[in-house]
Amino acid sequence: MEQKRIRAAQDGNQAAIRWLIEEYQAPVYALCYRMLGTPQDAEDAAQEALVRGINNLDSFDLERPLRPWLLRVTSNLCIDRLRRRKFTVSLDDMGEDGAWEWKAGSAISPERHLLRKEQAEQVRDLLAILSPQDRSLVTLFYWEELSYAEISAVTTLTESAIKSRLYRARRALARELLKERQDGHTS
Amino acid sequence: MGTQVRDKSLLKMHSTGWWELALAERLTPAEKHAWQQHLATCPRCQAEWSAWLEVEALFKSTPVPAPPEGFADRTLARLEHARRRRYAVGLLSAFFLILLVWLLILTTGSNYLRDILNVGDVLLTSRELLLQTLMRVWVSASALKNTLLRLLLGISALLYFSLIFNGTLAATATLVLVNKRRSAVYLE
Repeated sequence: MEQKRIRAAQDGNQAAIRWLIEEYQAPVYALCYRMLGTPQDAEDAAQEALVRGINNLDSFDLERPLRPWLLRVTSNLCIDRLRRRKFTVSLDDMGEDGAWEWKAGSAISPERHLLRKEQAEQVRDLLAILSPQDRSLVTLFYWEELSYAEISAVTTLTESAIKSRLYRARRALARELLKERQDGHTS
Repeated sequence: MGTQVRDKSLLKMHSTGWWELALAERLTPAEKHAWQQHLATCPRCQAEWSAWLEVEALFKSTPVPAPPEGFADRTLARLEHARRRRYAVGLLSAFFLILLVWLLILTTGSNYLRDILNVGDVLLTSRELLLQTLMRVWVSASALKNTLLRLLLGISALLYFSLIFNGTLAATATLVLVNKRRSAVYLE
């Protein structure tokens, strides 16, 4: 069924292209958000990744799953963007851009919303210390919930390389958290 | 492996191998027990381990950000815009390519261009000669009273005058007919 739709999208069928965008917008956007840090950058990059993916569907092998291929396009795009600019973190950004903003009538309470906002800020601060490629690996592992084999398909790294890099990245994150805590105690 | 501690090298609890196993929750019960004992006596490992677990918990509890409302529609609009732009760029590139080729011909290939134009000149100046040949063939064809041949000659003459600009087609037709006439004379 999916193959049929992808084939139709390759032929320029608008309904199939819409289906493809709606089906894959969530993982693509999530990856961009974790990689780039702000909703504006995430939306722009996610749109570009999907446009690139659809425009290059002819080069996609129908025998393989689309998700890793599309995530590879997205990851490469985000890594390029991160290399072009220094990743800066501003805590003020969060409130202004509307991400994790609590809205009256929303399902979660203001307290819970505040907690989520703090969590998101902490995650963003931590990810900011990693290199673009390590950030991509961590995101694929935790939020896209891909296995080592699937991450290998996305990044073209070997599974052992992924394990090793992920280990180093996670250890760096733990040490950063520890350092933050120690700095908090001393100040 | 069961409840045994698997490898002596891994007993070095500060090693990467041990930490990898501990984090992946792949320690045996005996190893887990040894690890807990170690954590209770090593403040450095304990601090790092708790930070590690905190990072894990933080990442796992932070929800996956969802795309904003209308994202799919905006992506479709961007896709359409990108396609139009690509088409326009294609057209523009083709135009500039043609322009470039033309400029190259005008500059570096001017000698070749002159030769081509000379051929045109020759064709135009030989108009008189071609007309004479055509008339001669017409007379010969009349003598043969070959109506079909006359019709063909008429068409070629028409083509000649309509395409007098270079006369190539008419000249070709004339030559073919002259050859046919020669063959006919030879057979007679």
